[in-house]
Amino acid sequence: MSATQKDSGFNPFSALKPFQDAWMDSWAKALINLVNNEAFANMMGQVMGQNLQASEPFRRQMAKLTEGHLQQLNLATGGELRSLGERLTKLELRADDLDAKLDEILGLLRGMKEVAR
Amino acid sequence: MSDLVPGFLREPYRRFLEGAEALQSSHNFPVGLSPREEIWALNKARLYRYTPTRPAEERKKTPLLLVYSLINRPYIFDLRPGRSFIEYMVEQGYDLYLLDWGVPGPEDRNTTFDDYLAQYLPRAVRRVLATSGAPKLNLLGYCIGATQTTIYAALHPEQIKNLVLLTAPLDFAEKGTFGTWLDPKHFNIDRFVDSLGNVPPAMVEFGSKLLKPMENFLGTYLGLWDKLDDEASVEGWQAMDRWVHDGVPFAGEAFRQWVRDYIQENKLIKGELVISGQKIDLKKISAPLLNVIADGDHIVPNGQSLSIMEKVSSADKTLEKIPAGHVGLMIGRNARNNLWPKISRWLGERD
Repeated sequence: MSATQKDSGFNPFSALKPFQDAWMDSWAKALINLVNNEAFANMMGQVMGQNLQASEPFRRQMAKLTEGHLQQLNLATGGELRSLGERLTKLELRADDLDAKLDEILGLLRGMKEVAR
Repeated sequence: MSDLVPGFLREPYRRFLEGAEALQSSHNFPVGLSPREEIWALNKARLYRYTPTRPAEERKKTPLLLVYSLINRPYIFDLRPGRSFIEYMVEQGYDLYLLDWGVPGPEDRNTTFDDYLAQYLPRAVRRVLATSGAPKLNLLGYCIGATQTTIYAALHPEQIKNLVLLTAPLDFAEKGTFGTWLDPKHFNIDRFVDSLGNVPPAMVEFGSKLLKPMENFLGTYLGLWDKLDDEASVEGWQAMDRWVHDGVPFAGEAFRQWVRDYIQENKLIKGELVISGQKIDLKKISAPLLNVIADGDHIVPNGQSLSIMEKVSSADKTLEKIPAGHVGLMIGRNARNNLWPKISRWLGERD
């Protein structure tokens, strides 16, 4: 698009615009009513629950196999990496607290120096 | 190729090609361009300070910290030049900070909602206060970020100068569509989190779109078709499209806690919520409160944001109803002329 506003010329679809707007509007209202009720929520919950339940044994088996292979290859498993990540975050938290305390001490020292002057 | 297209179809064909190009390039459309500096980081979270454009003597005294939701990118505050709340507030002389929660990875599945409130937010606030040198700060939360800032204001009232809430989901006595879907009668939160860990962003995006299926799955693309002759409108559409498809995972344990404690059991508003051993008493919020709701909000129904007005002990509290939707509130055409000046004026009067 080189210009901000272009001459759009003849557009055969523009004649259908009012029809399209009315169609969109009525469908929009109908679909909002469809999704915003207990029956839809129940159906969605059941579909999701069944999918999760059905895939659970495969997921568990896959996780077990992957973990076994990683251990055989002497590589870190997902759980170990997760635990490492959590430990790093805890270290970051402590470093952040120490940093804040150091700033506080430096601020106090600066204040004491100014008073001494 | 276009020579092969019959004359009466050339114009629609040109539009189709331009639309396809706009759609294809929207995923890397430049967003969040206001100059800033990273001043703090913890795990995936980052705290940014935006470069002031006004001389120090013309700036407001109290720093302003923006906290956005856990499930979308915070650049909705800084979508693109001319449509950026951050750019506007910096121009108004605010010392502006943004807390970006970052993108949780599989290693963050055990991060809880409490962690964000008790470990991350207090440290980010501490850094804002240390950087600005101010004794208190203004806190602005949007969507789930507004729930977090509300809780923070109840936990640390002494640090809060003013509290601004935008479309805050607080009282789930009014369920809304999300609340209906996540009702324990239909939705097993434990099975969900135990199986999936973090909630995939595609699932959050699909759920959000399903609230208004016609508008989100079809209307938005027809809207692009209509805008194709206006370059500025297409750019606006692309920035918005990028944001919509640029979701972040919801950390698994944080999602479990959000759904169970907040949505299903409504503990916050009932006064039963405990964060790190401390009961959250909303009466402890005494700072001036600006509570902004969007009358066309389909994600957070107005009822979820209203009862906070009676729960806090602030003497100075304002409820502002804006004719907009949940997201349009911040980036719609009227935001720059309506909401942003209102927030700036309200905070400026209380600086």
